[in-house]
Amino acid sequence: MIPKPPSRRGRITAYALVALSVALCAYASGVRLGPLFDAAGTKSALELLHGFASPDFSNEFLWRIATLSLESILIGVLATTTAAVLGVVAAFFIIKVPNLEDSPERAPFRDALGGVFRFVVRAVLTLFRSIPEVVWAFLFVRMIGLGPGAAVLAITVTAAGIFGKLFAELAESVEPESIRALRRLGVGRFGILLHGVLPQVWRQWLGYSFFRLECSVRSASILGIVGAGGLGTEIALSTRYFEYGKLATTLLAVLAFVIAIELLSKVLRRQSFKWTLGFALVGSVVALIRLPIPWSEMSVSKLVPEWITAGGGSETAAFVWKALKLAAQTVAMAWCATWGAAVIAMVLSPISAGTLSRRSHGGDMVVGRHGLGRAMSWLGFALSRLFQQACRAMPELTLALVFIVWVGPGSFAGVLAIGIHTIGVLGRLYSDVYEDVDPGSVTAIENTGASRFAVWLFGTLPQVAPRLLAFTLYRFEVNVRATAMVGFVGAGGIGGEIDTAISLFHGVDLLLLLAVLYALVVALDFFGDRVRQRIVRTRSQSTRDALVRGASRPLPGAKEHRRAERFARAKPVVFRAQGAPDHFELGTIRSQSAVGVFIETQTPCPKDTIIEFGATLSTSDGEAPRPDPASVIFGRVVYVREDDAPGMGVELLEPNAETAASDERAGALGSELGEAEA
Amino acid sequence: MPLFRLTDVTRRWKGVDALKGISLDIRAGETILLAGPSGSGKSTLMRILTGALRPTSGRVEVNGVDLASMTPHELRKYKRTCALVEQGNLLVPQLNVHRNVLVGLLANWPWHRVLISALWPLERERVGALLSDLGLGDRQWELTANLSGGQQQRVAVARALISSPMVIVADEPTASLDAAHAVQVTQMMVEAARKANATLILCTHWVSLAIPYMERLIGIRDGVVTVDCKAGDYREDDKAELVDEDSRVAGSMGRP
Repeated sequence: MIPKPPSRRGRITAYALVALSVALCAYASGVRLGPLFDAAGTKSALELLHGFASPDFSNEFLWRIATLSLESILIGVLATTTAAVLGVVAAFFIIKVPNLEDSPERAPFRDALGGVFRFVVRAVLTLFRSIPEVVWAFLFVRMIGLGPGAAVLAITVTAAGIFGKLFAELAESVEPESIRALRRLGVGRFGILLHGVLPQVWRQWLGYSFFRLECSVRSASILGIVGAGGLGTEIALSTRYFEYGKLATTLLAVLAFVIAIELLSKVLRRQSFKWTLGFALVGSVVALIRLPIPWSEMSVSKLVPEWITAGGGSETAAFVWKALKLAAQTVAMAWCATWGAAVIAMVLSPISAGTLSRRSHGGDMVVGRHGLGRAMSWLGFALSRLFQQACRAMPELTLALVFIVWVGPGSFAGVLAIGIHTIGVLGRLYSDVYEDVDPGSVTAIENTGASRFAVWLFGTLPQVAPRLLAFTLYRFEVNVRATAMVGFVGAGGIGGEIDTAISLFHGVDLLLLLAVLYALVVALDFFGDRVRQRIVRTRSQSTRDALVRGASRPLPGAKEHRRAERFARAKPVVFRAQGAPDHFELGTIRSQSAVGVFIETQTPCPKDTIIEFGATLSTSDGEAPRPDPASVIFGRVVYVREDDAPGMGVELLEPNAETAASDERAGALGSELGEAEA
Repeated sequence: MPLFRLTDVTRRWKGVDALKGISLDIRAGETILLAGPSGSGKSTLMRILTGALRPTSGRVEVNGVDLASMTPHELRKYKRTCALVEQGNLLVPQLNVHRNVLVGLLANWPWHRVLISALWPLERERVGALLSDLGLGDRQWELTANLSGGQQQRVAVARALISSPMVIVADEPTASLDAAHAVQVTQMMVEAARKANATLILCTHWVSLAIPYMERLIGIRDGVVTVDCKAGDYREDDKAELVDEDSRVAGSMGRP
């Protein structure tokens, strides 16, 4: 009697619903092929192409672009540094120390006060990040005048909101064990944060800050369209006066310095923290000296101009209705743009993930590609990486300006702009996820002689699907905020109306629109978190761990991580307490993180024991298990689990001289293990 | 003509010779036990036989055709007739058991059938019957990650057997099984091989347990063949040649 397979109706309905909603949203947002390729569309596309074919490389213009580029970079660096500091401070206030029983000496009043305070800080942070940068920039331009000062303030405010929330979230997902230990010792909140939480998360915080620096520099390159300094001014002028040659030069400059900043941050991540600190300090000081920021204008009275409180605007009831409709349009635009981009990125990312195209996981015969085939796959890899890089480097607003020239103003241009930028972002995220795939099982399927498509469908995709989906939904949330911006240049959504309200000093309208936007972002946060958690929870525990870790792992190359990773593939391990008689116990590594592993075993060592463990050497008949000497690592037992899956969490220790030496021997041994790993 | 003819096959790995000149003839339909201490080159040899690895020098002929001279297409075709059960079973933990077993069939299917099988469970009876033979009948729809190590190993064996391959190469398929299951799995593989007249090459450190079912014994040490005899000629005294020296000292501690 063969058991019946579980029903798949629910999942298939979900696929169908997503497809249907995307189609509806696309239709409602005016996505048509017509405007792209009809007479007017073709004509403007050709004009753009003609301009791009002959960029303006005259000396004075190049000099101007170089100055403005430097200004954009300085704005980005100064704003990110300030925002990171503010974000850390905010995070320290709002972190709920994870999984803690109530503190031993309870103080209801103080706790309640703390709760209210945390809520207020969180709400302010959400306000900061729910209003798009360009809105902040325009507001600040109105308050302190034209120039880069407004851009610095705008990016600082938005980035601080994002930093605060994300830093707190990362801190709240740390392993609770070390915190419990501190709590039992009677350490207070600040002490726990400093000694229990910070050491676990600062690398992630730093990694994310670098990612944000790239975003900030990108924003700084476009905020000039509302008069806030940097290259944006030039982009706005050249599209307005149809000088596409100048536009091409400016866009090339954006591409160049965004990529330069990415490379720089890649280098800095590998160096020690001192270099990063030095870069942030020097960059900020240079920015403070060079950027003409009108400090004297930044008084409270100037920052809260009377027109906001004075009111003025359209008839309120009708306007509320209009604002809601625009909000719905914004969501629809973001939804179809995100999924459209996701599909394209799905196709591109396997090509641009090195593990899937250029080389094979397995032995040298698995791919069996020679000559032309090899060159083609390399070319595909290079082209798709380049394309994604270019998509990512261009801010949505810049792309929107270009697409408005092509298809005319309206929400279609907005969808295109958001979609193209998202292809770049998702493509990179997907590629990173693909690079993380456990190669063992994929190689095993390749070895059956199955086609590449089958290997991808059955070996790779199941391993990454939940993470791909979670990243896509996360990007949708980000895109809603981005879509609210593109309206500023006339590409649909709620942004256009915000622009009008600020320009015409309609304070009430502005507050109303911002309130709608705020509510939208809060609602998306709330539902997004829940949906993403559900996606992940329906999968296995190990996948969930992978997601949590994957989502919070922007920092590649951490030494500890590489060491832990070596073990993920060699799953069965043997271990013993250090100094114990020569008797190894058997265990299996079930999960791993940058700092430790979880070893499932019937015979866990007591807490705080220092253990040595390593991959099991395949032993012969009747022989006691022993580790492969090349793989022995030392660790400290940080917690012991004694439920139905008993085991122990082990924190990896720095290798001592002995393991370092055996590390060197690893290659020389040429063991079967080494071969399997390669 | 033998199925496999290996002539002076060597394989270097990171400057170390894993295989130092192996010459072997293997007839079609033979059941062979491959034994040797760890690091002797067993796994390397098995991977070379199935085309997963290229030898550094020497010839590997399959039915008289040199593996090195095959085009990628021919090589893939050859791989389809082989089933390799690798050490550390290498299943996809996120798929259910059924789909992990289906993986063994994918190579023979056109792309649209592959796509359908990802959306809808195909071949339910065939997979179910094989799984029940392996004692996993009620686990067909379970997530592979939730199975124990021994159960996963049996799923890997099912994945190899489902496509009725002509060559079954199994690297320690019984490593994390208890004695009863190890015997059962060994028996099943031999039976499946006999029924299809397939060649079975089984590698295990558990020599005494598997030897009664096999026809031929090949021992490898330091990358060269040291023992090649009928399985019936094996005596307990030969063990020293097939396993690590220090195992005699280690005695009966730990696992069997």
